[in-house]
Amino acid sequence: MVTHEKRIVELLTRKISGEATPEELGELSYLLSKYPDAVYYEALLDQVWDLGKRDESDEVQEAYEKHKLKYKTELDFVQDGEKRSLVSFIQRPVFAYAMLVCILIASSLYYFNFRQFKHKDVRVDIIAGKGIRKEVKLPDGTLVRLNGDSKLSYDLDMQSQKQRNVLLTGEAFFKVAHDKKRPFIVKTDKVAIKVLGTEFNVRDYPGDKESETTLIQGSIELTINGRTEQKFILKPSEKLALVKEDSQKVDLNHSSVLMINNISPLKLGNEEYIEEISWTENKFVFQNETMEDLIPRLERWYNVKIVLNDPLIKSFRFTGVFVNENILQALEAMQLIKSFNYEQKENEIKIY
Amino acid sequence: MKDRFNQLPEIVSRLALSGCEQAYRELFNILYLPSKKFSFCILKSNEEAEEVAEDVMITLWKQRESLLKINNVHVYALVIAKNLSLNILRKNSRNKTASIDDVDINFFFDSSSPEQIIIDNELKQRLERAIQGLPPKCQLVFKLAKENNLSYKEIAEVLSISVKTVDAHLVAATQKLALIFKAEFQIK
Repeated sequence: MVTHEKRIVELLTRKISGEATPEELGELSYLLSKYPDAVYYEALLDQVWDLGKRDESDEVQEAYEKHKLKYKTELDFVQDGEKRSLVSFIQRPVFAYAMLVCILIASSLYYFNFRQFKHKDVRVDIIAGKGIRKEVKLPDGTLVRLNGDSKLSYDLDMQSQKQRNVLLTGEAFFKVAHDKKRPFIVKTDKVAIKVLGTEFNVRDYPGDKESETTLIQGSIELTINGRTEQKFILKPSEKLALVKEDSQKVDLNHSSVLMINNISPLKLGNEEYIEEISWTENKFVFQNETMEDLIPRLERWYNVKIVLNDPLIKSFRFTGVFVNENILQALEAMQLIKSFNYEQKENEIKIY
Repeated sequence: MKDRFNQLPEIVSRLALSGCEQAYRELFNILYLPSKKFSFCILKSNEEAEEVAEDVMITLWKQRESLLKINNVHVYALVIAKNLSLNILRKNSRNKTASIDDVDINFFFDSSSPEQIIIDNELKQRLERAIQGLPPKCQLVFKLAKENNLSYKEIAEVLSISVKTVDAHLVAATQKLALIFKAEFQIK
């Protein structure tokens, strides 16, 4: 094949796989106009790319039925009627009546037991110390998981108010109970988040450079304190980060960087913070880390000693999340990503 | 066809949050066959490839909650398929260092597609043989690019090679095909 033919085929390859730059596409048009016979190559390569593109849905369907049967025990699906999400559970009328009854009983209990206190002024503070995580259920049914060194405050009689207000310092994950009539408002030092029924994570520690809100499900409207004309609506998998210039407070008149990102999986802050919501489930998270860097972390997380000398294996990169695995299961999972061997002798694990 | 893979993030988040069958089935419909075909390239056994593909799907099911954090589930599934397949090869052949480069890949176009007017069965076979003459990684690159609609970057990730290498391999494959076309259709 002549040079220009080779070049045409090269450019066609990139075009057909969707990787051609605009310049390359331009060059291709030019070459094809100059050597019109070569247009056959494009048609033929298109045909080749189309080869085998048949309807495989019957085959997949059959395979799926077989698969379901074979793995019956592992595939413990959640039935539609029993959705685990608290939100949809609360939407059932039966639950609403039950909740009403409970509230009546609870409020009468409060009335009889705490008559001497003025409810309106009673403020509840939930505090999680450093290294502690706490889960709380608010009077309206909202579940809150507080991360270490965080505080959540709300009024004891929040159920009788027009809005559901809470104050947060630090980090918390919210599973807000659905209530169309009463928006749920989380206020932190820097932002106010209004939600109707949803799951999201807020991080706003006083000493941090960033304040971050991550939305998992539902939708939320976010305003920045001191700049309330500007409203941000987040959709699921989006997060808004507010970066401070000075780590003491946000100077809203100058360049505070507002970013709405899609949740980038596994972005690590520094070692103490596990990204977004993984901390709520005690997950060990790592992204594109070399084996060499992972070893000290694994040693700390699992309390083992790991020995590795092979420089090739040291350079292997891993991305992953561990939840309840022990160290051996974790290593097995890592082997799915990159091949290596390991051996456990007494208290030491050798990787080779 | 690329559209189906674009649906993956949405399906994955539904699966992670609800654990319902509908979402898993949709995931299966998109990833099962690609995983099986990819594994077949390495193992050349239908039964073993099926086992690997089912293993991949169950792994995704078991890890469904962590999947939210995986950047690219399509690539992730293929990487699992690749390593499971290599593990099986290793067990079968007792060759501890089996890597993709050592595997005898038997490339083939998906069969039983309606016969095309321009590329008849005989030509198709010649094209297949041409691809089979290429090094293993080259064949895999061609297969992944053509059938899985993966980007160069995604192919690079699955096979642990650079994007430039992916480009070089794919161009080498199409050059080979072009030579056959030139002879067959007498293109000047």
